Amino acid sequence: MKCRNTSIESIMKCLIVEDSIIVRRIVGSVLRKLGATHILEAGDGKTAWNYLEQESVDLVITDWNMPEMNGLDLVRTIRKHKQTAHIPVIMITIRDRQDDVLKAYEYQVNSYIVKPFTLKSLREKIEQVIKATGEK
Amino acid sequence: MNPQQMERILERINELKALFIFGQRVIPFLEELFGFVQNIVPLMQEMNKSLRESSTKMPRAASQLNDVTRATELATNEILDILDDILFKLGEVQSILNQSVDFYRKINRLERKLDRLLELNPENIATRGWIQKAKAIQDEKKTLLKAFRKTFTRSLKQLNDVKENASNIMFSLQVQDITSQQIAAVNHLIESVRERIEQLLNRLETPVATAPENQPVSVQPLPFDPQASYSPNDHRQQTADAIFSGSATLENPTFLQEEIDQLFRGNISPDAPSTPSSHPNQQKRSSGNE
Repeated sequence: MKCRNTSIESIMKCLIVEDSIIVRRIVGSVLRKLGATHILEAGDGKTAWNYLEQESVDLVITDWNMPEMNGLDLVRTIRKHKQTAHIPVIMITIRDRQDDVLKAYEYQVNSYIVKPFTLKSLREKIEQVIKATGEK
Repeated sequence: MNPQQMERILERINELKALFIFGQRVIPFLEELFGFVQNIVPLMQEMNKSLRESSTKMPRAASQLNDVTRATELATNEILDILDDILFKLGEVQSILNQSVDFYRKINRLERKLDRLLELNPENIATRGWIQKAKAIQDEKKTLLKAFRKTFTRSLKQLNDVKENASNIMFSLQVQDITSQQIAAVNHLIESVRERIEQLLNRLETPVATAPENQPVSVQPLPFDPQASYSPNDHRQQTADAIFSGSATLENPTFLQEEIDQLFRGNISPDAPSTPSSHPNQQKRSSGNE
């Protein structure tokens, strides 16, 4: 099995998709603490998809409830296109109902975080996803 | 029949005539009134329905506003607790630093003492008394240096805790995102009630002359989750983790965070299959390996 570096440094470019500026700042701060150097931010799914069409991104962290294009539609779009289908996606949302989580799972979300999240849970999920991506 | 009786009969006939004339005039009005009542009944029913809907929405709006209050209260208390801890730890760091300054002064004094000892007795440096004095100073210096190092270690630990606390405050501020969704849900309810009332007023054909400042403001509706709540407990995350790990039984509406994690652990590979039934964790679950 090919083993790559599984640290955050291996994730060069992270895209945070979130309509709340405060949550974007929190997630960005954690990513920077973990060593991410290139962080892109989008306030909705449509803007995020515009970024993804133009730039290659290593990790997407997205909210669910957003204007224009919601997080779930963004994940569907990401998975539908060959050039983006491989990008790991972490969903951070307030939706904690079973059917919502199952839907995210069906849409190929890689990890799911319920708001309000902690530094520990966010860090763990990011590291898990990076590790899994590195081991692939 | 006498003329008096005749006159009474004529009077009665006249009264009847007047009654018929009155009836002729009143019947169209009664018909109109009847038609009005017929028309107004559905409107009244609609009003009744609207009022019922509004009256069920209003307690929901009130309850959601209570959620906002609870969420902000909870987060504010969290932040205050953290700030209390930060202030306590900063106070400790301050006293540790004061202690360190004291240690530094003492060490400096010993250094000077040692220097003086060297200056005073450069010739008889190897005498027994001199060696004993120098050793005593050196031992005292070592003890002080050890304590000095300890204070630094303690300061670093406290500063690390303060840093962690500051980070926790940052995470508590997620309450803003959550309450904004709760308020968006209340706005949605209020807007739907306003629309119903406006529809009723339009049906009554009494356009309300509203002053410009009272005109409804067009607000871009924000996406929201009507059940948004600020409850920083592990259980909600555990639910999601259980699904992603594939260990949750779908009959059970609630999961543990661990369970959510386990399900998503299976989904963590970006190349995972697109349907849950074909997901590796689902296969594991059905084969009873979980």
